[in-house]
Amino acid sequence: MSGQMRPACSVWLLLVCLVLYSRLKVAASAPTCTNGQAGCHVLSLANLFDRVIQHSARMHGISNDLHSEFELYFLPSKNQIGRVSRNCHTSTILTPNGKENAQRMAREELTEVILKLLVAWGDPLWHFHQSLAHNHEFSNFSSNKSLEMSDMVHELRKGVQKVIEKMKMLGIIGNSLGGLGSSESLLAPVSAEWRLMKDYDLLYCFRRDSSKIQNYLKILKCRIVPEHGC
Amino acid sequence: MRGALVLGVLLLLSAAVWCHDASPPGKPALIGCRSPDKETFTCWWTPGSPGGLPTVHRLYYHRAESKDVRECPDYTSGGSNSCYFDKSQTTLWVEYELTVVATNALGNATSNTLRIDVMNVVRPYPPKNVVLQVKQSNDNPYLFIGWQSPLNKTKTYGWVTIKYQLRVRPEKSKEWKIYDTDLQRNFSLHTVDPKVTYEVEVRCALDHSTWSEWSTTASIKIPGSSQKDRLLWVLMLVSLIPLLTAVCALVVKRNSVKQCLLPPVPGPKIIGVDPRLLKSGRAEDVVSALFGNQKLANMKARTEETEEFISVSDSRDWLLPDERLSEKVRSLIIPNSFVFGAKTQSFELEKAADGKENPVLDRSSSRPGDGRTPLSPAPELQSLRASKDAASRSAGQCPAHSYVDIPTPEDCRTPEATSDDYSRVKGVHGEDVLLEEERVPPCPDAQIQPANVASDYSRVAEVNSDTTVLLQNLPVCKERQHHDAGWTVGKKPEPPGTEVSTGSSTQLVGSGYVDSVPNFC
Repeated sequence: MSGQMRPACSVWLLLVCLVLYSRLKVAASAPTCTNGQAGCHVLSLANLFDRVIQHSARMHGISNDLHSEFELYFLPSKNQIGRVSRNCHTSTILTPNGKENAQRMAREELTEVILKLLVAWGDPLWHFHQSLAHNHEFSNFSSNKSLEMSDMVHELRKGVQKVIEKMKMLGIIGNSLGGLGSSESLLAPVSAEWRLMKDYDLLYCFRRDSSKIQNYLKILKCRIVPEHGC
Repeated sequence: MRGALVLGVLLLLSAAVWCHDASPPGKPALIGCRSPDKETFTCWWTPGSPGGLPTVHRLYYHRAESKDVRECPDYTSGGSNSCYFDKSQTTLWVEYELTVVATNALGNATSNTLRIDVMNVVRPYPPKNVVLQVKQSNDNPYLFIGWQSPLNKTKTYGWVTIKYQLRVRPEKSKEWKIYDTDLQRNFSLHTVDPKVTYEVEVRCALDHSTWSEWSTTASIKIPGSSQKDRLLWVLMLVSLIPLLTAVCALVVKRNSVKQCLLPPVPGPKIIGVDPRLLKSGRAEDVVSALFGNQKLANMKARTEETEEFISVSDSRDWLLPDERLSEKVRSLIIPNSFVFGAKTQSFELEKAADGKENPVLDRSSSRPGDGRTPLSPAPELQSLRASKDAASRSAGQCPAHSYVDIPTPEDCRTPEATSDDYSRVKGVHGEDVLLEEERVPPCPDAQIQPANVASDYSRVAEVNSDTTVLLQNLPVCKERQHHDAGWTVGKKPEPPGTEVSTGSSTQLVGSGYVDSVPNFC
């Protein structure tokens, strides 16, 4: 009996060891990966940009849908003359309004604009979601979308920050861009205005800004990581 | 004076008439704007009622933030009643306010203001040059669809990302099937059927913009059969030809084929007997069937003999007075022959002088003076027949000595050496055949037994009618009693009808025939 147990035991131990070793290897390779390290699965800058661009496209799609839904609810006239031009709380941020303008802008400046926009929309969208969730006029579908939108802004901001870090690491951009700390200071001057915006205007403004973010990211990618068609 | 007045009135009238046609222009209406590439855009309007006078339309715009009103830079590039804004004039994410003013000599009219954000009116034109091709993949056809971007520039600097969508349907169907191809400018459709014409349309969109219109329909017909299919058909046809010829040959020669595959099984046939006549059931037919007009062939082997068939029973109960039975049995005649031993007996069954047409065995008779052909007296077997008439005729002529009711001629002698299994016929009385009482010889020494005494025979005790023979239950000799007890086939009280059927001698087997199975030649 004991004679049979021993080889079985040893085999079992061997298996366990192998499993643990493989796990360790996987775990070890994941977190810290300085460039050039062999066996490291590093995301290239192009990949990072692609992910971020996809994310922003998705975000813009949701904001588009929500805006269309609100339009059905409120039925405002698109061509109202008397309507005061919407003052988005982000209108203080200077953004390039065309392809050429965006191309002419410095990379750092463009990146900063993107980041500013993302930072500016973090809180307003969260509160927007809260107001939708508590207001029973709106369907669960709208409420869920607003939550998704709010989450996406945060995720996208983190993603863009990662891209910036990567770019800084690669020496593509200088260190003039502030880190996380400065993002808070960016938020301060515009913090009060969004509370005054109505939901519908807020959605309109965000739809516009999400479109800006998406387009700026694409231009940035083409300038930094050239590929076919750029 | 009057003339001037008239002229003045006329002028006024003409002026009035003329003035009725002219009016200030009607109010134009702005239809909308479109940006096909996110860099330029065009706006269109429809003019109002013409007013009869030449009208000029002008478009004025200003951006939402500024009060700076500008006029449309280009009235021609977009077609009539349009305004084209080029790159320098286009600002994205900014609202434009547009107004069209129609002016003529008498006045002007202003349209409603249109507010647009260029990013919201982005809508590309449909893709160009949709190309369809049928290609082969492992002998399966598939449809290759290719098209071109509606934008002229290939380099977009990441500003514009076009995604495509196409729809396909067979010509006669009404439902489209839609496929998304994202950024690809070609598509391969494998679910196509041959000999079907397909219609394809493509459209595109820039990021989240509105989809363009569907392109012009392109159609193509998938060819029906490939070379391989045709070859297959040819091979099939070629292989069918020998098959067809074989079938034809079979049909033509079906008789011979039938002969070959299903050879006719010779039915039971007795030489000299025509079974058809037996079936008719009439006595005369039966007789003629059996004897006909031909000489019977000489029998050689004893084993080929057919035994005379007389219904036998060892029980008197079995005797059936049924007229029908007797009639039928009477007509059932089985020719057989037997060896009389050393000597041949010849006999004669002939047509009675009374004219009864009882066809007689022509071959028979040793009776002189008979017109019949006598049977050869050679020791060959002769077939003979027992019949009622013959029996009756022979009555009184010769005492029946033989086992069957065969009258023997006067000078006939029964052979002394008949086996113990046979009984001598003493005589025929009417329909009865009287048999000699058999002496039961004392049993010889047990070891010495006559060789030709078969234990499966019985002695005939009595003949009830010409169709019934009662067998002795008594043994041939005392010692052999037990042997014969086993032989009681005749006891079986078969229903009368079954054992009697004209023309079939085997029916009487069950009722007890005396000797071996009759063999029919």
